[in-house]
Amino acid sequence: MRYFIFLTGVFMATLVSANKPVLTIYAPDYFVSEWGPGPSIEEAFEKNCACDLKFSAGDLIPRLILEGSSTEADIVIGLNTDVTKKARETDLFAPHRQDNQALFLPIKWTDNTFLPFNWSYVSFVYDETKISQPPSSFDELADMENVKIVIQDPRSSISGLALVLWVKEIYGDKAEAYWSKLAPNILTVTKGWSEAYGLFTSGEADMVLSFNTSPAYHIAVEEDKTKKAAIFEEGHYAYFELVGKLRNTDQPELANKFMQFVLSAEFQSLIPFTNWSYPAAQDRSEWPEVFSKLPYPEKAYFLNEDRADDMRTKAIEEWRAALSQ
Amino acid sequence: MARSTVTVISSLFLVGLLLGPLISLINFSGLSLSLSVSDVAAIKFTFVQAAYSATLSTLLAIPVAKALQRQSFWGKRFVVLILGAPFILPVIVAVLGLILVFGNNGIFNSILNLIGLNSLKIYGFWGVILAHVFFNLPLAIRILLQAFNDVSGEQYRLISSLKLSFIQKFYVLEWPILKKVCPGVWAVIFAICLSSFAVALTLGGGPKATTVELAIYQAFFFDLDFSKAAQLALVQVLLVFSVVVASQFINRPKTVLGLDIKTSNYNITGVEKIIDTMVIILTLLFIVIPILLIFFHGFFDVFSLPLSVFKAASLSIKIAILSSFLSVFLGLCLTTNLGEIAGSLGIAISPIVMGAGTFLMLKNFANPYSLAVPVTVVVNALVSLPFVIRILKPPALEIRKEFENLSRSIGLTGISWIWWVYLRRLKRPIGFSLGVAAALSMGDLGVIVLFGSGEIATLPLKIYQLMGSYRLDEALASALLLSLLAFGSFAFFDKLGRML
Repeated sequence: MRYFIFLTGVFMATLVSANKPVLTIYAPDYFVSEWGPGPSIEEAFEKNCACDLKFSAGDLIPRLILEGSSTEADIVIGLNTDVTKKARETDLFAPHRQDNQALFLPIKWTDNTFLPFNWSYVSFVYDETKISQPPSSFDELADMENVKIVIQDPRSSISGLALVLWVKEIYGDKAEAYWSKLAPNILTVTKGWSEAYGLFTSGEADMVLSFNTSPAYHIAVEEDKTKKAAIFEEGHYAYFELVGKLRNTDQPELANKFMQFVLSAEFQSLIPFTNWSYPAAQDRSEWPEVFSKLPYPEKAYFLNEDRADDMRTKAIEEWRAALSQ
Repeated sequence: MARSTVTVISSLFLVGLLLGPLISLINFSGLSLSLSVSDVAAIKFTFVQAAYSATLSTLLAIPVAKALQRQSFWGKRFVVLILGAPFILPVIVAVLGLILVFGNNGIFNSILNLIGLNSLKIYGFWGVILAHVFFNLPLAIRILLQAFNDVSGEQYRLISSLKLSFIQKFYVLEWPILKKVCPGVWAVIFAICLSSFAVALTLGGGPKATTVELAIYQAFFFDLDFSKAAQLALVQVLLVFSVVVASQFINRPKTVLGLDIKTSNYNITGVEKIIDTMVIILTLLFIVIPILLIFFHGFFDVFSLPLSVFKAASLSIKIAILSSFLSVFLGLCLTTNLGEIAGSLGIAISPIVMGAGTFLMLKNFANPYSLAVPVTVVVNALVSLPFVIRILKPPALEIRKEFENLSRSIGLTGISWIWWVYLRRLKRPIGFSLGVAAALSMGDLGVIVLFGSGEIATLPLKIYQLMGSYRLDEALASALLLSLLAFGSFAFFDKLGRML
């Protein structure tokens, strides 16, 4: 009898899960991992959707192009503004149909396809015990002596690309000259953010290209207050992470529901302590204290995708030429 | 007759498996035929650094292998085993270990500063070479040592009785062996270094150290220019191919066979003994210190790692075992020149292109993500194949040459010959190559993961996830676990080959 009940239970469970519609979301690996926001978002959304949310980790745009219209993805989360042009050109995305007015961002958001869900300022993070006088501008950064900075390669890392565009936007024609001036302070260039940040936390480098929200992790998890972001008076490049809905989704209603959920208080309040960045649809006053107390710049730089795309090749080439000397 | 059929069929099978992905990517995207200035610079840098790394690794391995062969001391087996470690360490771990020794705040610079010398800067061209030698010197030592050990005792006795000068002795004894083994070793190390990316960039100190693999990555993930990625991958294949084919044409002398008498008395002079001891100690320091530092960094966190890391570890072990057997099976079918050329494709093809192409090939038949585990097993086997063939081929050739006629004359042929003669006499290289293949597979991220991991979570993937979530300490501990597992499986198979 006990077995019968057990078997019925198993049978019912499979029946229920078989009937549930599946919402497939493509996301980067760090997002889906148990240390990222994926699991708690999945749990929160499944409470009210009568559905099965499935994250699928992997690279986003190349994967969508390889899969073409046969893709199983309904939603793609974790894109950023420097790849939206290419993403848009694939013609795979549909309008997000959310109110951009609900966003609290340092710039005015007008894109109707890609919706930001969190953001931060690209920044240089330093170790206070090694650098007592942090630079307050790019010029001061280059003038520093005996400092070792690690940055990411703009050809393989999105934060590396953000830095190159940021410098190009500030220095224009003089960007290459600036890179030559900064070159002696650059210890090395890494493939991605993880390798660079590893060199910083292991003590090999004094400063690393990261985000102004990175210190929040050290404060909240490690109770370490020595890691800080240097704030530059020129202003900082704003880095947005985006979510988009696939045009060919077989679950349009669920997908819409998820897009709505992204802007909800529940989703937004999961972001800071799992993705270590600012929630996009919350006012500063609603953020956790660790975040609202972080230093931030006066001005935000934001390059729309056409401008970023125009500048990209030249900016990378100048960077490469200057650092290859 | 039958053997050449086996080789041809397996070679064709292999070339299909390896070139299939590249062809299907070209089929999907077309092939672009233009190289920019920076592409040409990348190709040049890639070639030069690979050539330097391969040459230095091979040259440095000669005195070490010689010293290890002629000196006998307590713990020698263990020394030989530990010398194999860097080759099987996961790349991120090894780089960190090297930085702990040779970096700004590393031990090496502390010693230099202590004795009043200026710090050495690791980041630059020689940093790349240093890392590549660190990874590949052990492989070269092991293969050379095996070749030295295969020289019969009779020959050593004969030569030592002739009272030859040092140079004469080298010419009659070592030179033929080196001529036989070194070209293959050089070619395989060259091929590995060719596809270096993260290591070359990090230790190269900046965009000067741009390799073709980085250009492929950029074309694929950033520019979404798949045809350019395919073109660059083709350039890489051609580079590896020309080197491997050339290494086959170097005329190799015959060696003299004996009755398997092992000689321990080599008539070593006192000077030789001192030099050998120094060589062994220096090599050990170079190889072991970075590993030890990693060990102390990560050891205490291993026990507090989350369960998911251990689950990933168990999946990695399963994949490693399956792929090492597959790799050695294929390797045994391919112990000829043709096989060596075909097998080297495994490291010639960019993992990115391999992943993308495999995905394209599979998606017409099935959901590629549900096949992630079998695909990873096969791909890992193919990636270790060049090393496996390099290890198995020289002894296999020798056995065939010596025993084939004799066996045929007593009617021992076919399966029974393979079982009673071939495999029995090959058990040591088989064990060694199983170990290398298992360890390599353990450290591999798995190509399919580049695009979508689906349900599969291997240990290297967990390490990347931890590093991507600020958790460097746990990442280091997981990396230590990975190294221990890789080293453990290597030691296990290596030992098994000696015991059976």
